[in-house]
Amino acid sequence: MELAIEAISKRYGKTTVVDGISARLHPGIYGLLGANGAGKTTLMRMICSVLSPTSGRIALDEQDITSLGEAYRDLLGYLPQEFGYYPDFTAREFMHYVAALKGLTPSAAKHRTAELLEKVSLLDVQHKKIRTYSGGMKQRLGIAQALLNDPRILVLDEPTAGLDPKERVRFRNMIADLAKDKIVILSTHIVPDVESIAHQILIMKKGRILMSGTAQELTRSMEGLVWACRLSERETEQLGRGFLISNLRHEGNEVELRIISAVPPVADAVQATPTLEDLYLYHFREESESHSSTREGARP
Amino acid sequence: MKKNLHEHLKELPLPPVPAPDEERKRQTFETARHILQVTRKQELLQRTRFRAFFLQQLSYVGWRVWLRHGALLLAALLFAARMPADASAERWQLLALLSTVSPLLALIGMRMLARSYAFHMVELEMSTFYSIERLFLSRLCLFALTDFVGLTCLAGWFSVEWEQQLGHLLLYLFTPFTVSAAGCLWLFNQARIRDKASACSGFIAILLVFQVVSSFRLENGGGLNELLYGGTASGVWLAVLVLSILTAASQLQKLLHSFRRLESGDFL
Repeated sequence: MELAIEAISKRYGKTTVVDGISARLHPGIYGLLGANGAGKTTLMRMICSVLSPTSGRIALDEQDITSLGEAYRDLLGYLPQEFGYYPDFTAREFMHYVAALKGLTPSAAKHRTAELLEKVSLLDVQHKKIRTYSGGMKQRLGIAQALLNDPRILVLDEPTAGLDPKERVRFRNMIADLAKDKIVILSTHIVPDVESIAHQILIMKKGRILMSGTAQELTRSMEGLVWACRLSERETEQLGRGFLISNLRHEGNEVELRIISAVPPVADAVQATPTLEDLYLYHFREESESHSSTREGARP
Repeated sequence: MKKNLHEHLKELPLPPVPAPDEERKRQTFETARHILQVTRKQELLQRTRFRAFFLQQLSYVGWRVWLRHGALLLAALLFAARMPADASAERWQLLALLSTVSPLLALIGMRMLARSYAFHMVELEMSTFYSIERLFLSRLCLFALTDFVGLTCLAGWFSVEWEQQLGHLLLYLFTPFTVSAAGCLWLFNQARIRDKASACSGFIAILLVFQVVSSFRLENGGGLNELLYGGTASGVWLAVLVLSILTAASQLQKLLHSFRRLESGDFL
C-alpha cells in the first residue's frame, strides 16, 4: 500500500496554505510536526478527501483518491483537530452512530464499540452523555471512533491534545501497536509525542515540508549547534537576549543552560547531544516567539 | 421409588473420567479464540446496504423529532376540527392560519439537518464510508416523505370537511413548505452563516408572520386573505410552488456537491 502525495497545494486567494508538498507514504507512523499555521490541518483534510487541493493529487496505489470515493473512505480513520460530537449522545450511541456511517453491521458495531471503549478506558462510562465528559475523555472517544472500521489509513490531527501524561503514553503505545499494517499520520506540535513512535517525521513550515527523516537523522543536522553551560542568573539574563535558550534549570545560585547557537555562547560552553526539541526550537523560533493567536484550525 | 432410582443410579459403574489434559485444553481455547478473531474480522469487513443505512436514520433522527412532527399535525387537525368555520371566507382565513404548520414542519427537519454544522460534525461525517452526502440525503428524504404524507392527509381532511378541491388545498399547504425548504437550503449553502439552525429559524419566523398576516380580512371582505386565497391567485401560488421546488432542487444539488469535497474550510 502506497499513499502518494504529488505536488499538492492549497491556496485561498493569494494565501498559500500548503505549497507543493510531495511525499510517498507506506505502512508506518508518520509524525507531522509544525507550529500552528504551518498547514498541517489543511494537508490532513486533503488526505482525508474533505478538502479539495488547488493543484496536485493524492493517490492510493496509483489511483486518485477522488475517483476511489467511498472505497477510499472505507479505508480511512480520521480524528479531526476540532473533534465534533453530539452532546446528547452517550459514548456508546456515538460509536454506534459513527459505525453506521462507516457502514459497519450492527453486530460488528456492537463488538467493536465494546472493544475500543475498553481500549481507551471509557467502557465504564459508556452510558453517560458525552457532554459530561472531560476534555481528555472526549479526545479518547475521538481516537476510538477513528479506529472503528479498523482503518488502513489512520489520520489523527492533534490526537494528544487534552490528554494527561499517562493517557499520552498509553495512546503512543496503542498507536505503535496498531501501526503494523497501517499508514498512520499524526500531527502535533508536541515533540515527544512523535519522537518516540514515528518512523518518519515530516517537519512543516509555512505550507512546505522543511525536512523529513527519522528522529536520529533529523537531530543529526543539529550536531554542533547545541551547547550546555552553567552561568549566574545575571549572566543568563544577558545571554538570553542574544541566544536561543532551549532549556534552563536553576541550581543554587547558578543556572544550567541549554543553548542553540552556531558559535559557542560562552567560552566554557560544551557541546550537547541535540534532541528533536532543539531542532524544533531552532526552526520555529519566530513562531514560538509570536505564538499568540493563530490556530491553524482558524481558516483564512 | 424415586429415591431408590437415585440410589441405583449412584451404584451404576461409570466410565473413568479422564484426567484433564492441559495441552488439549489450551488447544481448544486457542482454536476458539482464533475462530472468534476470524469471525470478528470477517464481520468487520462487511458493509451494510444503503437501504439498511437509510432505515437506521429513522432511529438516529430521534423519537423527539418524530413526536414533534406528529404533534404538530395532530394539533392542526384538532384545531381545524374545533374551530367553527361555516362561511367560505372563514375557512380560507383558517386555512391561512393552519398552513403555518408547513413551515414549522420544515423547520423541525431543517434544524435536525443543521446539527452536523452546529456540533462540528461535518468534517468527521464527510470522511466516512457513507459520507455526510448520503446521510443528509437520507434524512431529507425521510422528512420529506413524512411531511408529504402528513400534509396530504391534512389537505384531504380539509377537502372532505369543507368540500373544496383537493388540488387547491394541497397547493396552499405545500407552497409554504417548499418555500421554507428552499430558503433553508439556500442558508445552508452560505459559508458565512455559521449558525445555520438560527438562520433557518429566523427565515421561517418571517414566513410565519407573513402567513398570519395573510389570514386577516377587512370588514368589507378585502385584505391579503382575499387577495391570496380568493381563487384568482392560484396561478401565482402555482408559480411560487414550482419556483421554490426548482430553487430547493438546485440548492440541494449545490449542497451535496460541496459535501463531496469542500473548496474551503469555512464550512467546517
